[in-house]
Formats: sequence, structure tokens, C-alpha cells
Amino acid sequence: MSRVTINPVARAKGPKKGGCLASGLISLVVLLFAASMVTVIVAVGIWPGEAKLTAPLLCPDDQPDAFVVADTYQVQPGETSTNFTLYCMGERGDVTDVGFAVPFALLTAFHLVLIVLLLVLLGVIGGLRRRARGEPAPGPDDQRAPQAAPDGPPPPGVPWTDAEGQTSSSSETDFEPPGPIIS
Amino acid sequence: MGTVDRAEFEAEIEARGGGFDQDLITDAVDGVASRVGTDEFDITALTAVPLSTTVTLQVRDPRAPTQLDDYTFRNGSLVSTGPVQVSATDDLDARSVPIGTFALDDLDAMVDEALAAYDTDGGFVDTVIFAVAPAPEGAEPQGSVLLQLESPRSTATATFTAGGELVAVEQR
Repeated sequence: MSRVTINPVARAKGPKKGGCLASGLISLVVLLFAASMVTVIVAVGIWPGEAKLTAPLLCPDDQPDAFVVADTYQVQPGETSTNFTLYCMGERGDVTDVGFAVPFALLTAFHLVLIVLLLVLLGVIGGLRRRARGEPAPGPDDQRAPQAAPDGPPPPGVPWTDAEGQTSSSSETDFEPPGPIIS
Repeated sequence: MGTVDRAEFEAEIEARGGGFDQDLITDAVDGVASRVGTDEFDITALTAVPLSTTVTLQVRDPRAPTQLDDYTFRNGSLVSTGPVQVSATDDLDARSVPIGTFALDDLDAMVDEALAAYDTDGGFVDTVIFAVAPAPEGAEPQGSVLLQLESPRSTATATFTAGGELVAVEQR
């Protein structure tokens, strides 16, 4: 019979690697969702002309002028629908219909990069502020480190665990005054 | 914000000459060629409207020359096709020409020449037509290219031979 030896280090690393991958994927999905929402709000709701920023990537060289055309239809009484289309136009008036799906995808990617840059910038600024205040940078183990028990009783309203494992809390309202001293 | 409506967009196209591009027609011709199996087919008519990027052709089926089919392309894609009724007295030989007789690669130059000859403020090409004049008995039918020109104050027709020579610009 052969004996199988499990490397304890490898066992410890396995779940951690999977956890990193999962958290990375979740972060990516959250960032993509945020970028899509920003694109919907900006490129559809506020400034549809933003799609013209994608013209250098999508328009042929001989049709450099970009137009975003808004077609508004009355779907039914009291309800209208607006379609946006990006066109590239040449000097003879010849046009290419680019549509809006591809510009929307490119703008989403552009907004994703902007959001990531903004988060990095905020992280750097936060680090600089901490350094200026003389605080140590938070490490990965800081959150897991057990907090040292405070000397003496906790302040009123803070739950605490006694030596027998029972959780209690103290407050000014449930404080029982000591009984009379009988000597 | 940053958008134009359809009317403003079309006005901009017309201000630049109508937006005709010969690729509009060559793409449609290539599309028909791929469907009939040869690029040597005959047509009786072709109409192109640059503003709607629509091209309509009446094509003799090379596999059944007594039959005429209608093809409509928009943005270079086939949107509809169907048979055309032909009278028993119709002589398709007398009113069809091979597509190769038209100077497809010179259409942009024809448009520029027609607009220069029209010489009217705001002039643009509204429609491009390949027409076939019915031939008298025993003669070959002749193809011609007609450009319908428009401006805010007038309309005109520029006539070219199928080979691309300007024949006349007649203002109406």
C-alpha cells in the first residue's frame, strides 16, 4: 500500500487561491455593472453626443465627421421612444451607419477604465494622508488580529464576555444599585 | 445634447452634394452577381437613392432569360427580391443591356461633373438611374445614366452615356 502525504502548505494555499479568483471575478462584475450604468446615464440620458468620441475608432478615414442622429417615435399615445444612431460622413455627404451598440460597448470600456483609475487615485490619496498622519498602512492581517482586551470593565452599552463565556452588556438603565451594607 | 434630428442630418447630406457613393451601386451589383451565379447579367433598369441608401434593380435571370426579377438593397444588404410580370409581347432582348456596359467605377466622377455643370447653390444628387432605351428592330439597346439633380430652387436631369460621357444637363 502506498501512503499519500498531503502537503499542509498546499492545503492551506488551495482555498486562498480560489478565494482570490472569486473575489477578483466579483470585483470585475461589479466594475462592469457600474461602468454600464454610468454609460446608460451619461451616453443615453444626459449626453448622447458622447458616442462621437468613438468616431476615430469606428469611422473610415474618408468619413471623419461624426453625427449622432436622434429619431423620436410615438410608440403609442403619450409614449415616445428615441433611437440614437452614430453616422460617419464624408465631404461628399456619403455616410456610414455605425449604429449605437458598438459605440455603447466602447464607451462602457472607456468608463470602466475611468472608474478603475478613480479608485486607484483615491487609494493613493488615502495612503498619502495616512502617511502624513504617521499611521501605519493597514495590512492584510490587521483585520484578523484579535483585539486586546481592555483593562477594566467596558464602557456602558458595550457587550462583553465574562470568564464563563456568557455575554452580557452593561448600561446605565439596567445597573442595579448595591443593597444595604449590613455589618 | 450633442445630437441632431433626422431632418438636420439629411439637410447636411444635401448641403454636401447628396451623399452619393458609387460603392452603393457596386455593392448591390456584387450582391446580385453572387445570387445569380455570374457577374455578367443583364438589367432593364436600376434606381439608386443615396439618401435612403436604397438600390433597386430589375435583372434578367441568366438561367431563365425570359424571367425578370426585382432586387432591392439597403445599406448594401438585400432587403427584398421578387418576380416581375412580363407581357407576352415584351421583348426583353430589346430592352436589357449587360451590367458591364455601365461605367460603374466612374459614377462618382459623373456626379461631380453633373453638379459642376448644374452650378446651382445647394445642388445635390437626388436619384441615380440606369435606363435602357428600347432598341428599334435589329439594333442593340442603349444604356444611359440619368442623374436627377435638385436644389432649393430648381431641379434638373443630367444625362450620361453608359460609358460615362456627359450628354446634357437639362434644367426643368
